Amino acid sequence: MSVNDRMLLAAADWHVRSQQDDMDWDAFTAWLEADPAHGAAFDAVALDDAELTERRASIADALRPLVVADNDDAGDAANDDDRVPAAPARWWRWAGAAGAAMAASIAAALVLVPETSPPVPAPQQFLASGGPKQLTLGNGVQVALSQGASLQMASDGSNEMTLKGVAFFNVPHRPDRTITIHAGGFDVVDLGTSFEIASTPQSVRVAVRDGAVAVHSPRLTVPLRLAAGQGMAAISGSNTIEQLRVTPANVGSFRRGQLVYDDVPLSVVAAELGQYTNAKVIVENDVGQRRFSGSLSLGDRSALVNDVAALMDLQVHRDGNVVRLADSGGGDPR
Amino acid sequence: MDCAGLDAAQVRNPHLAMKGFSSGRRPGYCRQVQSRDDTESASTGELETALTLHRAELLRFLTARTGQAVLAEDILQELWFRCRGSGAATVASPRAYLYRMAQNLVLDRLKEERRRMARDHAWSSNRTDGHGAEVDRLDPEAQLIEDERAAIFAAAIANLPPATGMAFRLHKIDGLGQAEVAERMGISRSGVEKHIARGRVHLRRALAGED
Repeated sequence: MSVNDRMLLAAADWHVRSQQDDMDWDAFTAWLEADPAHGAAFDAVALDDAELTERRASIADALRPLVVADNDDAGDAANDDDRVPAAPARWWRWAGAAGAAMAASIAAALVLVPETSPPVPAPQQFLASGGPKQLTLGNGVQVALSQGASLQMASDGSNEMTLKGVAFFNVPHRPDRTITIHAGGFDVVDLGTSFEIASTPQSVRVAVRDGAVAVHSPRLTVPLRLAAGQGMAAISGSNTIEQLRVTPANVGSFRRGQLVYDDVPLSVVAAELGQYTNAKVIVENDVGQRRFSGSLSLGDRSALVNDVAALMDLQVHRDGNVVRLADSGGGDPR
Repeated sequence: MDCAGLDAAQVRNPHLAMKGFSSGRRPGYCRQVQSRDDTESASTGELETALTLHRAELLRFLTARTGQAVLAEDILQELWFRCRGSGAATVASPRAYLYRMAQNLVLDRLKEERRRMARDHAWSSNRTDGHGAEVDRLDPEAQLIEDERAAIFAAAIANLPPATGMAFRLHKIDGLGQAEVAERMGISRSGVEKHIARGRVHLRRALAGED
């Protein structure tokens, strides 16, 4: 048990006892005085308790499908759990049996709901090789895959999936499940909303049209919450994760044959164009930091890169399957 | 402002009766309770007496609890008003009662602080968003947050070790008293307490991934 756990457990003990008449207030004061961190730990426990009380009805609703009828495990009460988990809190820690399987994956994420109804047998993987593809998954989630994108369902349930390429998700709200999409080093956790994810080997971009999602990643110290009109972009090899503003109506615009970007780093745009053109689009160092705003037509894919180059005043160098975008010397067109 | 100087008649106000601790409080609270009520109370309340007796230790407790001497004084002041308003209310253990009141007042401040932070955050994200009209839909947003938070709590509770989870649910969700939980589960009262405390630690750690 870490020092932190010990402190939390002590705080929780004090919290329980403080409800009773025989509480030793002097000892509690002494405990608080011993270390300023004790007060903070107690605050956290007390606030959790207050929130739990405030949301009790909603929590009870959300809990109903998750908890099997109380069984006769009370006899084990004295010894079933002598410690709190030693590892730092990670979602899969809380995912019970599913945790073991998920722990194997680098992108550990939240899967909180065992299916209440028998899961609809779904193909393991969806590919949009021939062109854009519309799917409705067994859990009611609608997905539009752009050309070249793939969606891999987790073997242990259809609420967890891995995306490569660009896709738009529409997740009808259901209180009994959470959808997690692994995209690169990021996990997008959603409860009921619509959003787009573009996951390429070089980049991950998330844009929310409706509702909100939480993005978890080892690269983030705290999960990032994105609401409608917000987005994020990350480039592999860079520590920066950029928050983006997006026009909700343009989220998932690839479905109508358009790519609409609003102030997105060119390196991210280039990585995504690579997905659409089956080429590797490379931007020269400093060019990648320029921002691209504009609308590209998906009608003629071979023209995509040239369109961007023209809009951004860049030179295009093609070498087989590799396309390089370089500064034409004309300076930043903005 | 010096509230301590007000006499008992001035601060006697039915709104300060001991019904609950969570009525709204704002800065400038003292001024609000100066409304005159001429029914002079003859007897000094039991809690008021207890507060006089335990004032020093309560202040020490509040200072340790909040980490801020000024805030501790402020909360003690508030406690004082509440006690005066309570008249001749009788409680089994006035000292414990005062401590619990003090605890509740601290918690109210914490909750208020958290709400304020949440509001500030919402405000600033609306303000900085270039498409404010799309973002500025508070009700579905609030509902979403409610659902999201409830789902997080539920997931954490569902994943507690079995006996801990059972004790936790019976007590915190179903609202049974600890003695009832102990009886239902056939374990001691302190066993229940242990489970509840452990449950809180698990919960805190699950929530820490989300806060």
